[in-house]
Amino acid sequence: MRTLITWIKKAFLPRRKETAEEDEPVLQPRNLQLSISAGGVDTGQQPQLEKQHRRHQSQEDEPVLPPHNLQLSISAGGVDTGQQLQLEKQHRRHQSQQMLLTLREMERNGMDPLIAAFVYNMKHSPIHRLPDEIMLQILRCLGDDPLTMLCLRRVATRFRRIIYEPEIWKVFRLGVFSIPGYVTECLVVLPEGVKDELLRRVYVDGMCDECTLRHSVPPRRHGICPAVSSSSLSLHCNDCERVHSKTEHLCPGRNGVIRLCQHVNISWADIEPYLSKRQHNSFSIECHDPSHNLRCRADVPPTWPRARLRIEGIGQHLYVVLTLTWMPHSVVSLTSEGRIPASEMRRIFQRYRQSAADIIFPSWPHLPLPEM
Amino acid sequence: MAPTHISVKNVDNGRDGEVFTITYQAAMQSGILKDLISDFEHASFDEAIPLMGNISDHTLGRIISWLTIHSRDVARITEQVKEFLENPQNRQPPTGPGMDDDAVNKALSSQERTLVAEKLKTLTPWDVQFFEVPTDEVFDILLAANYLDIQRLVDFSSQTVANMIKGKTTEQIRDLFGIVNDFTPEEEDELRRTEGWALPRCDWTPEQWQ
Repeated sequence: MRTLITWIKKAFLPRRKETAEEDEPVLQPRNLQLSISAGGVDTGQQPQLEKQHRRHQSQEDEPVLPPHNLQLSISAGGVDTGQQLQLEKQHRRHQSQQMLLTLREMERNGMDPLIAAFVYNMKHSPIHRLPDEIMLQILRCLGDDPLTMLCLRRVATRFRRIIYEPEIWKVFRLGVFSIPGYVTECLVVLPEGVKDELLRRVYVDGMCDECTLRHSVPPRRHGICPAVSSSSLSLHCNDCERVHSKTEHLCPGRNGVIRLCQHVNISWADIEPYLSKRQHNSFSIECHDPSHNLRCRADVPPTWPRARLRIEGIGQHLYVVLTLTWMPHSVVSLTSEGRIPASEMRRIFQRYRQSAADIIFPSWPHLPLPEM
Repeated sequence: MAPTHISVKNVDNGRDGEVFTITYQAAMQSGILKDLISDFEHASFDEAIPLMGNISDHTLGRIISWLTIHSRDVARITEQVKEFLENPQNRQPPTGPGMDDDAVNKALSSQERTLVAEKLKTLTPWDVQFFEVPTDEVFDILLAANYLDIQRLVDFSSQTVANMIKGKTTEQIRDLFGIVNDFTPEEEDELRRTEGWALPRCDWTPEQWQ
């Protein structure tokens, strides 16, 4: 209702002015009519409007407003609330589709999804054009409003980086403390009222598009939208147009492969069946390619490149550790007494010096040779 | 002698833009123009000063209109404040008979200065209307004002952007500026953990929300 009143205010003002100043643009009466009928002005609002109008007129030394802005706001007043919602919804859908298309295009060109998101923000988001010092100025204008700061820092990595500065938090004169070595980010103590408001905002974010347009306040128990009740546990995927459970939400580290040697790659699919506590010991991948068939002595078994799985941590915080091991060997033929002949050693060193090992075994050592 | 009017134009890749002319007084609000004029005191300013700040003609036009409207602000507001302070009731602290003239004048001038500074900081209804444009354009103005070093316009536009952000939720801010969430899931978890005391737990039922 309040928005409607402001429309009407805007619609009224220029009409009154028209009588006083001839050079004001004449407004389209059709739009004016519509906005009034949609608002249904009752007599209670009329004096308020008058007051507003008079106050405006008293500011004589104020310059005349540019007319093009007025036109814009009035044409918006002509649409009734249901249509307004519909339009807003369409606009949002269009906007998000555009966004998705651009992102998809980037990903098709071989960009990582997270990097694509970052690059998209840098290229297409208007606020990312601003340099850091202006961003800081805007933050200063936010004043003592920790709530907006907390919401803002969750928007994108750039905002978090700027707001992350402990110096900024000092400006807000909040109770700030951090536990050294554990939390690098400030933990802020919020008063009760602020905390409730933050909860409300987080709750609004969890609502589906339909509900956010209709309710600015979270609906009470009976009017909960279907998306809300499970919002924190599920994730709507725009890609396949369905809702996934949170467990399906994959860490980007699970994409791609880890290379054990030139012959064997390990992907997440290879590891996944062994994730339970009991089975991880049976996970073992070895590459038995003949090129790895090296050993120091003929009577010991060769050491193949191998991968082992370990599970660490307690409770819910479990980590999967993949250990890759392999041992380098130099194939040396020993004499019958079990010694290495000097000629053999020279041959090995020569071979090493041809590659990067020249640093370890330089042909002209800087230090004098130790006395034999 | 200082010129009465200054012309500026936008130069982008060797292509000249539209020429805008403003009064000397209006131009002095911009740090970059002020420095230029004082550095080349004896030069004639018949030709338009080229600006390289990558500003579009439309934005430059809007900024020129802002400069023109606000060119006499300092004088006007100082006058208003002086008038306001002529009434002894408005003086802070009230001047008593025990104070000598020096102290009274000192107190008055400091109060005058703070009042003027305060008034210069507040947006007039005209400014509010001035910024009722698409978000993109507000940022254009902000960047151009930053380049031209018009501190007051930078302050005003920052205030406007701050007002846009105020009271919005994270998702609403993203919608407003067309930002995509670029946090990794791990970072998001980290954010949630540092706010753990405030944010709802995943296993909460809707009843616990009430």
